[in-house]
Amino acid sequence: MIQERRFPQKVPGRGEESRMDKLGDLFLRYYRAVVAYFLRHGCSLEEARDLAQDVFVRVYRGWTDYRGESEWNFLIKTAHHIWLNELRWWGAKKRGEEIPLPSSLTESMARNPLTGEVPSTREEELIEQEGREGRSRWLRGAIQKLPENLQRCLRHWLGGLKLREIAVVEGITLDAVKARLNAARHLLRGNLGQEPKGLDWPEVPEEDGRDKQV
Amino acid sequence: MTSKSDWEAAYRELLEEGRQRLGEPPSVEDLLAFSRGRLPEAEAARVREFLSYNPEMARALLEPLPFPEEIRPGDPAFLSEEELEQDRQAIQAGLAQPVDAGSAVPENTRPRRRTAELGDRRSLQRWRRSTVAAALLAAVLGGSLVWTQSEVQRLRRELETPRTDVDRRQLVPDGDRDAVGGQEPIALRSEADSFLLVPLLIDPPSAPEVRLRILQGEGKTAKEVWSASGLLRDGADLEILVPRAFLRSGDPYRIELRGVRAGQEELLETYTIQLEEP
Repeated sequence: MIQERRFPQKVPGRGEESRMDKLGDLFLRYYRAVVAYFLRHGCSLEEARDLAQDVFVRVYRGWTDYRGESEWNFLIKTAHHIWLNELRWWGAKKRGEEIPLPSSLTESMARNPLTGEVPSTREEELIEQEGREGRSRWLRGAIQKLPENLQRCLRHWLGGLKLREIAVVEGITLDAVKARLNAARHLLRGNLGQEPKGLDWPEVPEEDGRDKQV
Repeated sequence: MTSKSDWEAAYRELLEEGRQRLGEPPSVEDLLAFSRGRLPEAEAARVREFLSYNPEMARALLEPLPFPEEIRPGDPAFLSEEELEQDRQAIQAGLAQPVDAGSAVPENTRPRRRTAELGDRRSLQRWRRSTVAAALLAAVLGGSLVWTQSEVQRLRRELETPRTDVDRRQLVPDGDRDAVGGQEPIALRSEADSFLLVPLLIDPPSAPEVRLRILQGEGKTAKEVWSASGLLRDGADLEILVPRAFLRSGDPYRIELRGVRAGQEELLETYTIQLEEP
């Protein structure tokens, strides 16, 4: 037997019934794919289902925005919109809260970074923690002395964006991104008084970045 | 000496400071307008600044919109029929809730959490785990329903798309096909998408109306599977478009053409067809 997924709720107004039928049809065809979209972004299954439900509610309510594009395109644009709003919400929630450090970092805090040994006393642990916080403050200060456009590029890069993606966000060429990162590296070297080690800087020929206007 | 974790810690502190300093994030509309290059430079600069402190948002904005995935059994998104029904009901409940005045899509709000329903789901899942036999049965039924759903989708797509593979066949009446194949059913190619059947009438009927019947099977056991009444005879050929899916290969189908006058029916011709076995 063919199982229908209709939305029999009666809503006053012209064409409402056909919209319900259409929603039922979209649900049957695409609901799981919309759930999959949210799962790909790291949501739990329950979160993904909740968000997918919101997509279908919004699609129904925003039917007047439908411009005859492909149904999937309409659905996924709505899903994308909801996902961005979700990220905004989480971003807002994070403000004012302490951002937890990754477990790899907190674990390493209890060890000597040079020897890998666990500090034998509480005092040594505190000294090590203080040293780590000092280094972090020192690096942060050096970054904040960079020109704003270089800082932004560096933040994008430290945040894991690819060079090509940085170019799109910044509205500049790929070469300009490389040049900015190279310039940031050279300026950091001056600010820190030593080579900014610990990062896998993108390879750029010296002449591309050192004297180039960015 | 600096290590990667020192940079990570510094970066996280920078993010925290920046997020607090920037305050309220740009609206989703502004973000989308930025991604399309339709934001004035001053506002675009603010979005760039915001994105540099929110790499997850930058990545989400940059990603191309995906094509619909084919979700297969075993995939986490492959919800069971029961879960689909729960979600369908949750959507219906969402539709019943009032919308904020002046805004069809509430902005800057956290989407609703249907926690009560989630609780129900969790208890349902616990119950399901404890009944292995029921799960097995559900898997079998689920597989069957998956097949049914995919078949429905395929048929719907077939109906909605234009088609070119139509086999037009003129049907010579039973009893008049001696010279062109005896009394064997008229064979139809199984590869065709649809068949446009044109029953020929040796003697045009005097009856003003015609009735068509299609019966599946032979002799007295044949049963009617389709009929149409009130067809007018205006001199043009009668044409019947039969989708291939309507016919079961190997079974003979008898098409009866009947004249109707003053409520009385008269059998005019019969035509027997058969879809070839693949």
